[in-house]
Amino acid sequence: MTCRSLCMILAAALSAGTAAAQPDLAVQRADPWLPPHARVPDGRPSPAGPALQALALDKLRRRFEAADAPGFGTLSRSQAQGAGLGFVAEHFDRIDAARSGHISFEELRRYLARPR
Amino acid sequence: MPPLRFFLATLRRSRPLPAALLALLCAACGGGGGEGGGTAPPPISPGFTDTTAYSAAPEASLATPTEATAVTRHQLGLEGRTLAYTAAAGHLTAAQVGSGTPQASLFYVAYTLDGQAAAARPLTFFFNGGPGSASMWLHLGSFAPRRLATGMPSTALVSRFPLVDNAETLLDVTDLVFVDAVGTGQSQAIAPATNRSFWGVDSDARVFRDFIARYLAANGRQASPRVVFGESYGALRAAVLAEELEAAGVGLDGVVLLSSVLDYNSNCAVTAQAGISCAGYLPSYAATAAHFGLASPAPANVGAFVLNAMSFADQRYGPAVAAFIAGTGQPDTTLISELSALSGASATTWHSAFNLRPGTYRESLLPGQLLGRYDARIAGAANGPLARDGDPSLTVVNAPFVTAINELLAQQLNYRSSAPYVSFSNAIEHWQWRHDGRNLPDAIPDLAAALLLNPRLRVLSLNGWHDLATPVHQTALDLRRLGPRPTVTVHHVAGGHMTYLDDASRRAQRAALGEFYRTLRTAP
Repeated sequence: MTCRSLCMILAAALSAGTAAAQPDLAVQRADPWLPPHARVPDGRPSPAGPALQALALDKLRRRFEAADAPGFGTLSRSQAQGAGLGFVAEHFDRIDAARSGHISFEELRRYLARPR
Repeated sequence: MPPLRFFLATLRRSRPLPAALLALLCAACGGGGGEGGGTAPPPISPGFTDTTAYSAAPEASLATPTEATAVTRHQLGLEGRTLAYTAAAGHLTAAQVGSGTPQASLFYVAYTLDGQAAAARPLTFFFNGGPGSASMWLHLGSFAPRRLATGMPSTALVSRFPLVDNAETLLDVTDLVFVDAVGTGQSQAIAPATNRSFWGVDSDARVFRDFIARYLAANGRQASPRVVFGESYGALRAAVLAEELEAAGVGLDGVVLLSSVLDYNSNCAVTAQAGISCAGYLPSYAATAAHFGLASPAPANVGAFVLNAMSFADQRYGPAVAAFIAGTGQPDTTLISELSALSGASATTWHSAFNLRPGTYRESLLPGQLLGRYDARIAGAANGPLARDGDPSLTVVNAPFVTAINELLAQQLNYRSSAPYVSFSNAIEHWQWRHDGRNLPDAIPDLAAALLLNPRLRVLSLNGWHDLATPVHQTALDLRRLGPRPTVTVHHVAGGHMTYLDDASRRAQRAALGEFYRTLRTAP
C-alpha cells in the first residue's frame, strides 16, 4: 500500500465519520448563544435617554476613581497615564483649566460637555 | 516509513483525526495530486514555521511568546487596476496599556496595501464573536483581497468553496487586520495568565485593546485612522472595545457593527425568558415570508415591505406584546390576522405563541422544513442532514470554511505551525458575562461613553433582513436608546447573519462601507 492510497482511505474514513451523528458544537452553539447556567437576565429595563447618558458618565467616573488610588479626588497627568487612563493624560492641559497640575472629575465632566 | 508510523500514532492519540492534519500529512506524501475532483493544492514552499505548541485549553498559557510573522507579497487585479499588497500572518504580544504587563500572544493576518502613507491610510481590525469563534468567517467571507465563493443562499452541501479574487475587497480604502480572540485561531494567554483569564466581556475587550496598541506601535501606524469591525458577539466586543480604546488614549475613528447583539437582555431568543419581547424579530419574519411567497398580499418592493413591518412592530405588535407579557391585554383577532398576513405564520401559530420566538417560527413556517437561523432563506428537511445541528444555513458553510482557513494559512500565506488553527473553542462554557453590574452584557452604555469621549467617532450598523439570530429591528431598537446621533448610521439589506456571503448583499454593504470610510475624521 502506498502512502498516497493509505491517505485516501483515511480521508474517506474521516469524512464518513463526520457525516455520522457527531454533533457540531460550532453550529449548535452559534453566536449569539448562552450556556443554560448563564440565561439569567436581571429583568431590568436597559437604560435610554438621560439615564443612559448618566451611566456613560459613571463609567468614566469609575475609571477616574480607580486611577485616584489615594482617594484625593484629583488626578495628575502621570497618575492618569500610569493607570491606563490615556484619554485624560492626552487632554490634560485642556481639562486642567485652572492650570493646577491636578484635575477633578468635575473639570473632566465640564471639558466633555464643551463642543469639541 | 516514518510518515506512516506518525499517522498511526496520531490516530491512536486523538479521534477523530483533524481534517487539517490529515491534509497536511497527505501533502507530505508528495506526487500524484489531483484526485478528489479539486485542483491539487500548490506545493508548500520551504520557509516559516512557528514551532510554538499553541493551545486553546482553559488553563493553557505560554511561557515564551514569539512575535514571529510570515510575510508574503501578492497582487490583486480589480477593474483594470492592480493592487500590490503584503500579507503578514503571525503573533503580536498584547501588553496591558498602562502597566505594560504581557497579557496574551494574539494571532492575526494583516493585508496592507503597498506604498501608502501611514498617516492617511485607514486600518481596520476585524473579529468574529461567539464568544469562542475564530475570525475566519470575516477573513474568508467578507472584504479581504480574496474570499470564498459560497453561492449563498444555497442548500448544496459541499466540502470546499473556491477561493477567488474579491471585487468587493476593502483593501483599496483600508488595510485589514483579522485578529483571533484568546483561545481561538492560534491566540493564547501568556503566563501567569491563562486563556480563561481573557474569557469574559471585560478582559476580552481589554486584551483586544492591548493588541491594537501593540499593532499600531509595532508597525508605525499610530497616526493612521483606525476602525474596529465586529460581527455578532464581535459587535458587542467592538462597542466595549471602543470605550476601552478611547479611555486608554489609543483612540478610535470608527466602529462597524455587523449583525450585532448589543444587549443580551433585549434579544428574546438568547435567554428564552418569557418576559422579553420578540417584537424586534417581526420585520425579519416578514422578509422571510416575502422570500417564500407567503406574505399576503405579495409585496412589490421587499425593502418597503420590511420598513412597513418595522413600523407595524413599533406601533401595533410591540405594544400588544408588552401588554400580553404584563398580563394586561390579550391579542385581538384583527391583529392576529394582520400578523399572519405579514409573517406567513398561521393564525393558529400566533394564537398559541403570541410572543413568537424565532425557533418556533423557523419550525412552523414550511411543513416538514427547518428554516435557517443565520439565513432564513436556507431551509432543509427537518429530519435531514442540513437540519442535523439546528441551522441549515450554518451547516452548509461551516466545514468548508474550516478547511479553507487551514489551506489559506499554509499554502497562500506561508504560515505553518505545529499546532492546529482552532476555529471554535469551548470558551463560551467558561465565559464571564457580567458587565457594568449586570448579569448579561448591554454594550449601549459603552457606545454612549465612547461617543462622549470622541464626538467624531463614526458608527455604522449593518444588518441582513433574513437573519433570525440577530434581527435587524432589534439592533435598531437597541441603537435607538442612544437618541438621535449625527455620527451613527444604520444600513440594512437582503441577506442573513453573515450577510457578506450573498454576492448582492456584499456589494451593497461594500457601497455603504465606502461612504463610511470617506467620513472618518470629518466633523459630524
